[in-house]
Amino acid sequence: MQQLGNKLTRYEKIAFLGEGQFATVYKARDVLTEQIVAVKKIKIGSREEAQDGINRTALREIKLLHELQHENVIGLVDVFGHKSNVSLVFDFMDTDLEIIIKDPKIILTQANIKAYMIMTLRGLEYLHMNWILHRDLKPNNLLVNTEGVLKIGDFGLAKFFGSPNRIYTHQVVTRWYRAPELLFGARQYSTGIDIWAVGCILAELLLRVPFLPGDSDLDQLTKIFQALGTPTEETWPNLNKLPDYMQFKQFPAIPLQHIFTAAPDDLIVLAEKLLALNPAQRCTCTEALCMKYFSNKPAPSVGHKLPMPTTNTQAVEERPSLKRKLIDAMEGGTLPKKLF
Amino acid sequence: MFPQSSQKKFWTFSNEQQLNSLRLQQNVTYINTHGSDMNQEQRDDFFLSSIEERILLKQYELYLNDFCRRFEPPMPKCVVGTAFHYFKRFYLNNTPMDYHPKEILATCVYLACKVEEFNVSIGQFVSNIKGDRNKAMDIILSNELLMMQQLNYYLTVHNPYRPIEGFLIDIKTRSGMSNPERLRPHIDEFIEKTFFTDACLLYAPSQIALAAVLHAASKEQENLDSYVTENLFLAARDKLPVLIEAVRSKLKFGNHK
Repeated sequence: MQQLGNKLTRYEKIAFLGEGQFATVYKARDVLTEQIVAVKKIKIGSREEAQDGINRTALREIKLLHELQHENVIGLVDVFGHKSNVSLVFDFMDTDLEIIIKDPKIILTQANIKAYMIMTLRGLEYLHMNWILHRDLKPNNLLVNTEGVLKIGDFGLAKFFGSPNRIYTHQVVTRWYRAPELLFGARQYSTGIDIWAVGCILAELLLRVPFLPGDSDLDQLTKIFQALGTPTEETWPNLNKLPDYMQFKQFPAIPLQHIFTAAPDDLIVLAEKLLALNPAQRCTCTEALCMKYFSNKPAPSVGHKLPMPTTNTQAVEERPSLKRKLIDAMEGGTLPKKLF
Repeated sequence: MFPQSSQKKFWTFSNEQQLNSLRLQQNVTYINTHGSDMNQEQRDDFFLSSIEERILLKQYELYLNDFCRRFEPPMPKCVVGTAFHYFKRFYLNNTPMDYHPKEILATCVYLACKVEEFNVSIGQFVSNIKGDRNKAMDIILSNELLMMQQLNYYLTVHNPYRPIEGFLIDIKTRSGMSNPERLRPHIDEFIEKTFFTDACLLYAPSQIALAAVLHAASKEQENLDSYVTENLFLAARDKLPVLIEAVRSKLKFGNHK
């Protein structure tokens, strides 16, 4: 019990950061190490949830993150319990990719995009090597700190994979980042679902708006096929055997160069492999990292040169100046589309 | 992966002496705290000795196994394996005089169900328990956090089931043995026996799995020696004698308990 008391005073609350469905998050100082951390206090939750004891999402994060250690995966520094509550202590991260993408003041150069992609793929490669599927990759879950280090966060849906006899639920991944096999109800899926999500994130870094924002599962598939073409039995064998398969209108594929007009060819090649409709043709993280895009110029931005959002939360919605647009055009950077 | 796991780092011990000294230590600490005003005779009379604790816990391990076998809906094997791990880990540092094994047993199984993603509600869970179910529910839920604390929040358990599947697939492809599926009942029997030993606190799951497979093969009058030497350890021939000895000792270990 003494140990417990220590834990409660060890993390000194600095600020309230936010409140989610399952938890309240605080910024805190570890008085022992002077490190700044994020303390996620799991809520007891609604009546029915509390009845089942400790929240399952929190359990998943604890069990998985305690086994992992990688520069590009959020670190679980500590766990402690108090009364019937559990708190998780994480590395403190200043922002996330969603905020960066949406910040109209931030210019994302090709070098910046490459840096984010490398860090995401390295973190994900590590997860996959450890037989873990993240199952909920989206810009909001790619956390970034002031040193420009990106770490994959939120393991509330993550799961060990690789048991051939396990049947999984297909109701995972936020819809816009959900792979076509999941939308067709596949119960046995693999690392390809995370790769697809990375493809969508790459597209979003380029476009500055979500690439495939479907408003229903059906609309999601339609949006996917309108952009990438409707798959056929030839391009995706046994497609029609998936549980929720249905036939779609035959859309022709739009060449990715026409969608990502500012993107260099080596990036297009990468995007094509990440967004292959047939999961068997999608690349792995390791394959992706070996592609030309990552060794070609420009070199990825080094950490401290990566942009940070304006600290002022009430960022002024101003149009980018002409000068900025010019710089943008020269560097091949992108700004949110909606501003134009 | 096991080599980098918390299980290997924090919950795998180098020998049985180490385990026994931990168990002795918690027993002595308890007796010293609660029997400070007693002489040795009174203490022997009043408290459980470390050996008696072991016997008591062994009995509850049998109950644990029974409870899991009868569980409705049927429970995946990994839940049973994980529950056994938790139970053994818990009583390395705690005494059954402090925590009733019956309560800890139920809590271990309940937490294992959640961690292994075998989704049963607490209501469903306690419907498998005889007696006062509301009371059982209260006990389990109030012990859940304690259990996690005592596990140092290291919840992932690597069981031998996955390496067993791997070995079977490999044997089917590379050994030429006819119908390796007939090894399964012997393998299951072996693994069940290891639940009542300290094997899971001492060896890697893949070592236990290999021991189970070799045990099963010998029961079926099959010999997998050449499969082991020529396929599994081709790259590490120099280490082979050590490994063979390790596996043999485990076979004995599994057999005599």
